[in-house]
Amino acid sequence: MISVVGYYSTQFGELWERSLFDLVKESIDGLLKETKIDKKEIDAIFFSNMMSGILENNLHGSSKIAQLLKTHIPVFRSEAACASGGMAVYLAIQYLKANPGKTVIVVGAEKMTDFAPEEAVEGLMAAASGEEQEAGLTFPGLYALLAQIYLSKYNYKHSHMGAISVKNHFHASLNEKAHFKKKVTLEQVLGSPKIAWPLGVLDCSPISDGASSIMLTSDNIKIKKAKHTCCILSSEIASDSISLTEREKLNSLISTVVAGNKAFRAAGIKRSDIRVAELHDCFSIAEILGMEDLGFWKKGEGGARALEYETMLGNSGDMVVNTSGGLKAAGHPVGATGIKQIGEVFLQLTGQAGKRQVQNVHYGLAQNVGGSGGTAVVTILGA
Amino acid sequence: MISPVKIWRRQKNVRSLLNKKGVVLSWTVIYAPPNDFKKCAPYSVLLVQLDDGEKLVGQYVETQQEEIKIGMRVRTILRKTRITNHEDVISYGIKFTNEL
Repeated sequence: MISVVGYYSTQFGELWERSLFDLVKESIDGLLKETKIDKKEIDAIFFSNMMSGILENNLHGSSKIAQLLKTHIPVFRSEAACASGGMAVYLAIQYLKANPGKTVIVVGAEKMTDFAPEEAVEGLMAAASGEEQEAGLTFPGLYALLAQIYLSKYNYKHSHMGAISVKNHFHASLNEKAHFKKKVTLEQVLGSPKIAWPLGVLDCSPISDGASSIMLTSDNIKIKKAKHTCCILSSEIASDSISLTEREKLNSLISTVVAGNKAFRAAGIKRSDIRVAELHDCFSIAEILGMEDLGFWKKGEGGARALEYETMLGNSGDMVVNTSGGLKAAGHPVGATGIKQIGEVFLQLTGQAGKRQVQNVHYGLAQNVGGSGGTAVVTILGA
Repeated sequence: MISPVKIWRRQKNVRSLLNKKGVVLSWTVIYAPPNDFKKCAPYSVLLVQLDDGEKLVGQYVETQQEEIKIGMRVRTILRKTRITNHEDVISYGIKFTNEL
C-alpha cells in the first residue's frame, strides 16, 4: 500500500519577495516539520516545474534541490505543462511500486509573477503546437475555442460556465492559502474584462507563485506512526495530440476520459463513491468538461448542473468539487497545482480541511490536465 | 524570436495550404496576447475545418469580428504572422478571410 503521510503548501499568490527555490525550500521544510520525519529518511524526491527553463534560464532544478537539502539522494524532474504535478505524483507512485518500503517527497513549484503577462502567456504557449502559436493563440484562447463549441452544441450561455468561478471563489474564501480569498458574483464574472472571447478574466485561473509538497511512503512503520494518512488507490495518465486540430472530438478531452476510466477500474470503486474532487478548472469551461469526461455528469448536461451549484459546499449534492478554490481561485502556480490537488484531497480525507471540511468523506479524486488536454492524470485516494 | 531556419522549414508547408476553403468550427477573440502578437491585439482566431477534412487554426483578417459565426465559410490566405524585431526574418503563415 502506498500512502500519503503529509502535505504542506506555501501561500499561493504574488510572492515577489521570494524566489522559486525559496518556495521549494519552505514547502519541503514545512512538510518535514509537519510529518516529523528527518530528511535522512527520504529516499528520493520528485520535482515538478514547467517554466523555470523558459522564463528564468533555470534548469537542472533537481540539483538545486540537492544543494538546498545537502543531500545525494536521486531527485527527478517532471514536466508535462500544467499536469507536471500530477505526473510527478504518478512517477513517484511507480518508483514506490518498484522500490517497496521507501519514502519520497513530491514537490512542485512555479514562479510566474516576476514577468509581464505577455511573457508568461508566451512561455505557457510552449505547451501548445507550433501552428497554434503562429495563430497567436493563448491557453485562454484554446479553451475559449472549446467553450464556444460546447456552448453552441448544447445551447448554453456564458452564465452556465461562470457559475463554476462563483463556486470556486466561494470555496477559496475558506482557504487561507488561496491566491484570491474573496467571493465573486455571477454578474461580476459575466462582466469581467475579456481575455479570450467569451472567457473573461474571472473565467480564467490566475498567474501565481507557490509551491506544494506531499510525502508518499510504502513503509508500513511510517504509515502506522503517521498522525494523518490516506492511501493512493490508483493513479493513471493518458495522452492526446498536442494540437486541437488533430482531435476527433472537440466537446470532450479524451485524455481525461481514458485516464478516468482506467483509474476507476484500478481503484475498484464507483463514481458515486467519490465525495470530494479537485478538478482542473484552469478555465470555467474546463471543470464542466472534466465533470462530464470523468463520468460524474452526462455529456451535455454539465452546463445546467453547474448553474444549479450542485457541487458547492453546503448544497445538497453528493459531491463537492474544488474545495481548495480550484485553480481559478486558490491560484495556479503551474508545477505546484497537481500536488496541491492531491494535498487538498488528503486534507479532506483526514478531516484537516477546517472551515471547508466536507463530512463523511471516504474517497476523493484529483484530475490534472496538461495543455489543452494533451496530458491528463487522474488519481483516486481513499481514507 | 524564431530561428530563421525554422521559418524556412515551415514555409514549405504553407504553400500547400493556400486558397483552401472551409467552414468555421469555433472562434475566439484574443485580448491578452503573447509578446510577438501584442501590437495586433485584439484579434480574432478561427478553428476551421477545410473541405478536405483537415483542421487548421489561424487569424481572421477581416475587421468585422461581430460577423463571425460557427458554420461560416472562409478561405485561406498568406499573411505575416508575428511581429518580432525589425531585423528578424519575417514569418509568414495562414490566415483566413471570407470566401469569395
